[in-house]
Amino acid sequence: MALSTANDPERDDDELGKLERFAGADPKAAEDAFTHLSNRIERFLWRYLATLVPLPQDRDDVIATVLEKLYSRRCEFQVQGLGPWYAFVATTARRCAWDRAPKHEFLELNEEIPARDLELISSVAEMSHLRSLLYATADELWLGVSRRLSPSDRNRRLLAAQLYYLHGRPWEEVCRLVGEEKPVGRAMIDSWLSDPSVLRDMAYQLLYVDNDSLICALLGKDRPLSIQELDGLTMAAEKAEGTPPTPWTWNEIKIAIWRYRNGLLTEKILQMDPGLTREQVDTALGRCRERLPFEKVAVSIQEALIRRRAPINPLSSPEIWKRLVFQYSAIHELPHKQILERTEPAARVAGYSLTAAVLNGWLCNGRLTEQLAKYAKKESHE
Amino acid sequence: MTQLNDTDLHPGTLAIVEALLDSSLEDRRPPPVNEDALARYACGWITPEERDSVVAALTASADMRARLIQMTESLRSAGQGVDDRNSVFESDSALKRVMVSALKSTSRVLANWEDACTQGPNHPELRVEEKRSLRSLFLGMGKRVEPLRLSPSFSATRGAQTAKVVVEPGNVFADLAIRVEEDDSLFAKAKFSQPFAEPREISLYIVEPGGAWAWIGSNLARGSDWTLATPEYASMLGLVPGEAASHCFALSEGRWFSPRGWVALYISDQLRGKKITSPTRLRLRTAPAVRNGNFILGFEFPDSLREVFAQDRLTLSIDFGGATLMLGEWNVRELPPSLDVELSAPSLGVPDGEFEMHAAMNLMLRPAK
Repeated sequence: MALSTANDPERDDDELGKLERFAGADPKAAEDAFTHLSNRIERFLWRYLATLVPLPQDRDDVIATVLEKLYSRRCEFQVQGLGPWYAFVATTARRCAWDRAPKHEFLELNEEIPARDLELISSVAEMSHLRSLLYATADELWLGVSRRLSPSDRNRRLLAAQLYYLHGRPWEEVCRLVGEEKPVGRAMIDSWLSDPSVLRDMAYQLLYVDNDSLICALLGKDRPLSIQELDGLTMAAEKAEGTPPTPWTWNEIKIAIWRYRNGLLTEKILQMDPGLTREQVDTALGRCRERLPFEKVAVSIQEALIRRRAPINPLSSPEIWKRLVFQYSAIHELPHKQILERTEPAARVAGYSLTAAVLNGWLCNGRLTEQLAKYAKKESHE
Repeated sequence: MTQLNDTDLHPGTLAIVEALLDSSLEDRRPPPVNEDALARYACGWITPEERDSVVAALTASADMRARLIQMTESLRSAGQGVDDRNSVFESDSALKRVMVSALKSTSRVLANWEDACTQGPNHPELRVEEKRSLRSLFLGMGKRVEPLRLSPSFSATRGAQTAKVVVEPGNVFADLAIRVEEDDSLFAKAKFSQPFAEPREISLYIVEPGGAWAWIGSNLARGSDWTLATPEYASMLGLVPGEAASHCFALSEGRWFSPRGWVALYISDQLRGKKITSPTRLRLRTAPAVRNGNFILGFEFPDSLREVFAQDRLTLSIDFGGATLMLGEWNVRELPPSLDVELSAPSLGVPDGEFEMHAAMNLMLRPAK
């Protein structure tokens, strides 16, 4: 798939080029390049430092320090590829984490990444970058959200729509809240609120529930659990330790986690715990299905849009369902039946018929990937 | 989370690769923002960098949006009932919580920052969030003194000379001088028209064109003299070393973080020529608001105004980013003690609700034609 357009500096698809400009002699070009690179570095470090610096506010501090150090020492850095670059960023981050809280006795500060691994890191960095672009392209194709729109601008539009449609706030208040230096003008806010891409994006963000969030919703948690908390819950369920959260049994929680967090089929669940019977699994999954949020979410979106007389109903077009199906298939690698479970009840609310046959055509016959590939190719030529 | 189990790879490589793969996806759980940051967002005291993270968190959490709406409601309902700066805090406990939450973090940061300045490298570093808060505060203040934000009439009539500033309560006036030192500290000095019998805490504020103030610092006044030194403020406010124009500053007894309810009053050059330079502001009886399509302002006019300016005229204008709209003109002698000025709102293009103070209200005294 052709996603690279290295000649266009505005497009976020040439990381190596930006790195070269960042380390180059032109300070203005370096600053511009760093603005783009820093977003990527922040996302990388947020994950990389998750174990070393578990508290989000501390991690935020360490990342800020790393960015400052990288920028102030940019002239000393020689571009040797993405692999050495990420190894350098990681080492800087480890040192900054240690400086902030030198309690990690076993933290290796001068960790030497073997030269043979650097090539792999380069490839993974490139692949990861292309993967980001792929999802952004999917957003552009099916939701209409331009890849050129910065994340903050996309979020401002999204917040405006959420406040206006979902929370029923008056437009004057929305203008003030999403404004920057000054409130957003009426004409601008009207154009956002009637933009089909904004409405689709809003509906998509509500209807897409990742695995971890879904399991929290099913278990009725009043706040999203962290990855570590979910891992702990999984272990507790597997060992049946302590009291399970009401109104569940440990077996039910175990089954729910294996199905909705790990996407396992019933056969695999039975293999994982031979002590379980098929009937037990079916009963537990039946209880889970009653609690799936998708239909309720679709109803609330539809009602909110009708109440505020939205110009279009984003749920009635196939585009949003294609984007959701692509997400569940490409990222979560869910089997068709589970994808349908997460999309069909919501689609039905809007009168859209999303059947197993339709899903089969989209996924098995490769219509979605073909459509995405054609679009990406066309875009890269333009 | 992506898991790699290739034992041939160095553990450091595995950690980098896992983080790289995970970072290709948009984070469905943006870093949480705390209550203080949300309060700052609701109050409009937020920097671009912090705004992005707050907005991202808001889009991801319906609960957080609901909390923001609660704060906004509190701000609005209190704003409509303001007739005195004290009542902002006393009349509405919900608003108090919001404001105190925003101010608490700001004042705590300021205290930490002052400690950092005095204690040097031994003082613990400010957190990123604290730095953002501090920057937000100073950016807001900096904007208020930015000369370009003042309309030409505003700037022309105010000049750069030392102003007489009313110190509350009573009719105590002050000659205020502000000097910016080479080390970017800001040094304020005032001489009062009458001495205080007991030491009084006097605060320095930056005055927004619309009449809103922002607190800079406080110190005790003894007798007729008062001084205040604040480190490093000047560079953050964009002020260069030397004497600073005092017309953007005000003094008040006590310490009010965000007093509102006053509109600055400018005295034309012709009247200034007669050595008449006060009062410098008029009290608003009610918060400016638009109701049923009409723009309503409630003023209080002190006797001194009518006595001193009996032959003159008072004009009210609103400045929208440099374009000045004249709203009305009155003979001073005909002004009652208080007056609700009602104007047709559609001509302003503003909706019903509290009038946003980003447009500057200018009151000006001119000689009678």
